Amino acid sequence: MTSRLRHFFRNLLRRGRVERELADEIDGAVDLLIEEKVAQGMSRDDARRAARLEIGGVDPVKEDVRDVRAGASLDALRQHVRFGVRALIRRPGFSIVAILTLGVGMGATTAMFSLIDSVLLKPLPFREPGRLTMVWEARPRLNAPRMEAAPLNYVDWQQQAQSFDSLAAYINNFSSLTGVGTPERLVAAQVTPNLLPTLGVNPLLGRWFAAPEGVPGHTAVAILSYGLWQRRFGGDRGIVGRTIRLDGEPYVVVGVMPRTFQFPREGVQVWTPVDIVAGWGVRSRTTFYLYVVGRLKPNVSLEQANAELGAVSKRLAQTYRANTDASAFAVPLQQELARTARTSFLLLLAAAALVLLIACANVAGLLVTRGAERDREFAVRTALGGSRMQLLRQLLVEGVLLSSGGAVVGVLLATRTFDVLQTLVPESLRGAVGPTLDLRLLTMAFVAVMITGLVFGLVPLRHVLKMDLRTPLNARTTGGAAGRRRAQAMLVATEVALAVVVLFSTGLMIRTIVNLQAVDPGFRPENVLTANLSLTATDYPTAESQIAFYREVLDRVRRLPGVVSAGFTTFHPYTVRIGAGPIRVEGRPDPGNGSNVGIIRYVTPDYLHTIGVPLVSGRGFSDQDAGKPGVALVSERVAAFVDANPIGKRVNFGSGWLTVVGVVGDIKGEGIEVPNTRGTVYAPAAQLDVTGFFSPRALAIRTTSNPTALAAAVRREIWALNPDQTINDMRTLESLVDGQLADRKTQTGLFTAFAGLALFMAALGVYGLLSFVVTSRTRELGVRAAMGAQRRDLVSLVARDSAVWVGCGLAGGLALSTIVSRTMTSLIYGVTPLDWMSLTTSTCVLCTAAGVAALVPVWRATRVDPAAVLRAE
Amino acid sequence: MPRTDLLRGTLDLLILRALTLEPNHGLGVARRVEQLTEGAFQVNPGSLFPALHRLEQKGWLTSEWGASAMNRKAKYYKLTSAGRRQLKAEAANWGRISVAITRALRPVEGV
Repeated sequence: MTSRLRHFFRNLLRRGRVERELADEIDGAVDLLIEEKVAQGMSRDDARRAARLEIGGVDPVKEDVRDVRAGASLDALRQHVRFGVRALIRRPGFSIVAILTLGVGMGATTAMFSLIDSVLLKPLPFREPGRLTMVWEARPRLNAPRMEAAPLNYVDWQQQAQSFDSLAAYINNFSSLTGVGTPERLVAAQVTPNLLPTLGVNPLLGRWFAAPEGVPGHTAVAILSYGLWQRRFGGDRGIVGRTIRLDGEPYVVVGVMPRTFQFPREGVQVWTPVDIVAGWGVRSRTTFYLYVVGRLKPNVSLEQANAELGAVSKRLAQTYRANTDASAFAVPLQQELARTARTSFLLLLAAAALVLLIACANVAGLLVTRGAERDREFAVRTALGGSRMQLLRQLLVEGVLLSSGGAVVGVLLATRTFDVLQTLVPESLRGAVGPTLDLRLLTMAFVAVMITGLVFGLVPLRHVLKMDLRTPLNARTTGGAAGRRRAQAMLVATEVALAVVVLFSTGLMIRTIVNLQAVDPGFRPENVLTANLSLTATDYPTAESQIAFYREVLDRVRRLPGVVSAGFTTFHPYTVRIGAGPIRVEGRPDPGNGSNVGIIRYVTPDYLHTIGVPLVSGRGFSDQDAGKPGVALVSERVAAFVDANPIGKRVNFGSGWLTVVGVVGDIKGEGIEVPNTRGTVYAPAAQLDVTGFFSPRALAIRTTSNPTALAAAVRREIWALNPDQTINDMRTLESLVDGQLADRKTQTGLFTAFAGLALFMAALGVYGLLSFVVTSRTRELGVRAAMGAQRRDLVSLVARDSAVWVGCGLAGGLALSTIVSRTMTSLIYGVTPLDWMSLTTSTCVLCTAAGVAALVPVWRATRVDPAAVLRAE
Repeated sequence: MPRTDLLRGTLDLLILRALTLEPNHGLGVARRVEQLTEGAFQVNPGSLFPALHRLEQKGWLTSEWGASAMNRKAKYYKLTSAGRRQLKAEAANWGRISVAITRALRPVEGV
């Protein structure tokens, strides 16, 4: 073994010497043989000839010796690579086109893979993430198959479900940090003390919450995010034990989380504990706002857990009337977090893979047309003693070289898209995960290289195996051009078919966006500026002081030039889904099953008018309502279950009995795509003692022109009132609506990019095919022209076959589209999967592109000069 | 005289055998094999040289440059002690095989 190793390195490192010695040895043997034959009485010339004959050629013998050398295969590979690189450099046009084409395809694929890998495949950064689940309620009668949990149900699950090691709950909220520099509103989460043990993540500093914390009366504690600790407290390790002020109240910092911890949502900066029952004093089974995370016991499967949750729900349904149709189910956490993204990501990957396939077909087409030239080269090499195995290896190496070049370009392209892709990561995962250039991505790129490389390498294989040596050597014209044209036409048809599929899917996505943009949100979002002002309990302890502050803000804002009206509400549309509850109607028992749940908002009189919610009947709120008996406005959906004639009826949703004075339009406040938005009830904040959760803090200002121009002035007015007031999320109402479409726009943008690439490559394929047809049939065209064929005949001769193939591809693509589109149903809105408009448009676009691509080659066909062709014969 | 194409293992064995007495160069080894097998085997250079290099890599032969009988530069191969052991083992093995094959091919009595 040591001997073999020694030879291996010698062969590798001292090549020149090894080769020289081999030459000396064989030449010496030939000379000896000659001498031997001369000694036997042959003439020197005869002896030389006989010796050569006996040895059978010096070079094949050397080649055989090289083959047995240690590291021979490495050596051969090196030679193949060197030869391949030379071959690619010799045809720079071909190589650049092929590498760029492959690069674009691979870039698209690796980029999408990186996104999917980071969101769907890589394990979440928690302990044994496979055992983590989300637990949801389902209320079929509320048309709510998947809903946050009602607090008391969560408490019951926790006590009764044995499948879980622990069940934790949390809600998302915000807290104002004051007392250290500028006041700031923090992204916060209120969590049950067992959340972190459930996830299995340890704090960087300090400790996690312990059980009695979160019960009122116990010392208030908080845990900071790494970012907040660094930014506001300079990374001071003495932070643990210090007191900070959140919403004006003192909280003792007990811990700091590691940098990567971002649960339950991106940018969360502070966690506070809550005891669901004692802390909130909630006793409800009909308001749904808790997110529940569970850790399965080690030997419990998801199915077992779901069966048990079903049984527990059944018991609760028998015990409590509110729960008659309630059930609960668990979903793996990772699947849950990526739920909204999954289908769209897989489809995007599919689209990218199609682009890569088209790129492969394109390069394969180039290789086929180049085959004529290669055939001669291979014939010569075979004649000179190269084995077919060697040629095959050479082809594979060249294929892999091409695809490696493509992969380098592709990975570079892919890394440029990471910023865009990051925005597609679901919010619950953003920051914690994201596409990165890592070993997994490179591995994937390598696999792609090998597969595509082998595919290309094997394209000319048929020719090599069936090659008749003499034909390419003898023939002056290209051999087998017809067969090659057919092979390339089939590739082009494939490209066209795949391109149609991508085009069609893109069409559906675009139509969806157009439809969604046309959805009436129920209010007029243009020219409205929004902001959130959180009032701290210390600055404004009573409802009166808060109302006074709101009034002053509104008075000052209304006086600004360009302001039409302004108002406050609890939450702006689309920002928060929670804040809903049952609405009882006077004289009727509460159905208790949640069918009367509506979204509850407390507003100042001008709010609805400001965002443009129409008044359907009755009257709106006015400043005169203050101090009088309570009134309410209901949206049409709520009005429907209150009474046929709701005005004058009294309703109660937690603030005493209020008289309905008017009906307003429904708004799609829960999301533009949510099909059955719940109705909304509004009550004037000035009449009621509203502080805390429902207090109106979301400011809306309608302006005559560009609302963002007013932002600075509005800030100035508010800070003139209270320099410590936090002002957050200042943005236009339009941007909130647009935010609903942001993901889709990015997805559609990617689809459109893929469609553009697919179209371009398919067109390139058509161009290549026709060019090859014209080149390989120049002689025939010339002869026909000489015989009096008209231009029309020549065009038909060149284009007819290709047109048929493109047509076949088109038909195949449309057929394929109808199948593919079925997988898109969850992604499209307002269009059927067989949308005729998308089908027609993609057909037209493709035919136009093919037509344009055909122009130049067809024009060249009509310009063939018969005289020149005949002279060349 | 039939010329038999040598199986690789047999060729290795014969090469090792041909070098037991004294070091020799490539062509010399070929001639010696022919001589030892009384011309039954003619060694093709196309398989001789690769075999010599293979055996050298395995450490059974060493080589050094010397002058041939005609006073030309030639590469002389020499059996190493490992090569000698290998020859012994292979020869014993060959003996067993040839006895076995001879026995297998013995005409059946009465036929």
